[in-house]
Amino acid sequence: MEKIKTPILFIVTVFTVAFLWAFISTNSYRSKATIDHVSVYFGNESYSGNELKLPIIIESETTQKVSSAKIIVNYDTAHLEPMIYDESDSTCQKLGTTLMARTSSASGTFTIARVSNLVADQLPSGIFCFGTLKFRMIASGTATLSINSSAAHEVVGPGPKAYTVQTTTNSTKTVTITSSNLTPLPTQLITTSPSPTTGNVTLNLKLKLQGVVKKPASGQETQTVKVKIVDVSGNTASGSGQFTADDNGIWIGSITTNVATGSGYKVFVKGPKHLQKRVCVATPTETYPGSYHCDQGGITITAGQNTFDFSGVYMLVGDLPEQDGVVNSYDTSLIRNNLGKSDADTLSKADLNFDGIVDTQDYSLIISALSVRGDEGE
Amino acid sequence: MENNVSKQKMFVFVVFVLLLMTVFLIIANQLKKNQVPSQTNKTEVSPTIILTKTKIGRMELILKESAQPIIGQPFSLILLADSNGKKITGFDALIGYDKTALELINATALKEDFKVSSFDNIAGKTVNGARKIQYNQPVVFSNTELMELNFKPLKIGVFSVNIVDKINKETTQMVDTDNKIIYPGAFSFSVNIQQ
Repeated sequence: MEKIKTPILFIVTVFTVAFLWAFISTNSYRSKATIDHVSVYFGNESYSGNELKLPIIIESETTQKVSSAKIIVNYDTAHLEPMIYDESDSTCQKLGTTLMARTSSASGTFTIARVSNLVADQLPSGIFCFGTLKFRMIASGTATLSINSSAAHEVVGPGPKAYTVQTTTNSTKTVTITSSNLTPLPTQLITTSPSPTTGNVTLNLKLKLQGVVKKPASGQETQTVKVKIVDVSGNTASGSGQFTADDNGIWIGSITTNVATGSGYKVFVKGPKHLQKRVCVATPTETYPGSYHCDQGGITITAGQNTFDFSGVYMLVGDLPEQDGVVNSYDTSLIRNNLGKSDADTLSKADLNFDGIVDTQDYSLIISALSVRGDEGE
Repeated sequence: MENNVSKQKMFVFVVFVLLLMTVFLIIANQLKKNQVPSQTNKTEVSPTIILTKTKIGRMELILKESAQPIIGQPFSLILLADSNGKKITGFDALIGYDKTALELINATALKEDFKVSSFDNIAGKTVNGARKIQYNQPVVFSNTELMELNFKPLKIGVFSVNIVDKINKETTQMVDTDNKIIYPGAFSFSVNIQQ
């Protein structure tokens, strides 16, 4: 009996130590070399007036693709006020443009989540910018921002594979705010494009607006139309002009602007309740409303008078004032909520066919415009 | 003799304690292993908002059936809306999801007094609802089911279906009878596709 006691004790002890080691290594020790980890930290901050921009960097192994992430940043509520998540920096768009953001001034947290729409082999990996946070500096002093390792961050790769988020020394950022940082930049002067009376080029245009087949009702015969000219290099000149409808519902008007003369131009036309249309030839035509589309500019602009007949294509309705470049529930509701009205203010916004009343014809036009969705861009 | 019995008892006790520790560690390890997938597979609902806009009401997605979806078998999400007492005449909901993992088979309107249309966007689908003109009574959304989205799972795993605040010029919004735009709190939904 005595002889087998020692081996039994030895075997049980070895097993116990082995499991203890496995348990500790699984639960406590986390190697940086493990490929299941990604690091999240701040990039270099930048300042603009009283605004602070702070990029968030994700660092993974080059084999670790990232498809979505949620990062939580703690900020100093006494000195900083979160602004909208900044999407202007194209270098910080590696995870696509899908945006989710929330803030809590009570807890001083700014949470950003982004989900990529890219296919797996195009997903970012290595060191890349996840996104840029934007804060307004509201009080002078020292403000600390941090990506807390204990927060509920989520970085996920295809599969999906959840990575463990770890922080670095750069995951805490201290910024010094002086009184000069608290002065907002002067409000940018917004320059509209009034009808220029001077310029080297005048475009005389004929247009056909969708839904208008006869002379508009009294008071609506003249409308403002925006026109933009874009050359092959993407240089633009724009202006707006007053267009007046004839008895057949053809709108005639002109704009004058300064633009280099040449060929290969595209002309963009946007009516007062309409989607922007891109036109590439001097006399475009289409087989049914909305079917004309073009890509390569083919219009020649010369100094002085240029006359183009765009009445062979419809300028489609859909983007009602205040225009935002897209047909959405605001536009449909504006018609729906004003059915039967004929006062000047309502007509200026919601009478799509300019017949002097907002009615079912206008509603039908806006519903059909939903399938077109938005402006034609450059 | 008594000393021998005492030693014997001590030995049995030590072996018992060591065995107990071993069993505990094995169980703890097993539990830990089981916890990893359950953490990544959690079904999570998290609010998402645009910071510059005041949020009124909400839009969210829920699973139509209580069972978790299975690979290859279509499942449905219901788009719900609450307008916080506002009378609604139109809405837009931007639905974003991983197109490599989920395929939207169809989208069915659940409100007969709204004409509902859906369109592709870069993240997934844009759903637009316009109140039909023959319905005159004001309508308030109160956990109202607007749309059923029928997906086919293409991959196993956890995937988010998001109501996205803004994509380019498009916005998740509701419009009331005064033409006021309401930006609802938008909630995303994580779906766990299983084998």
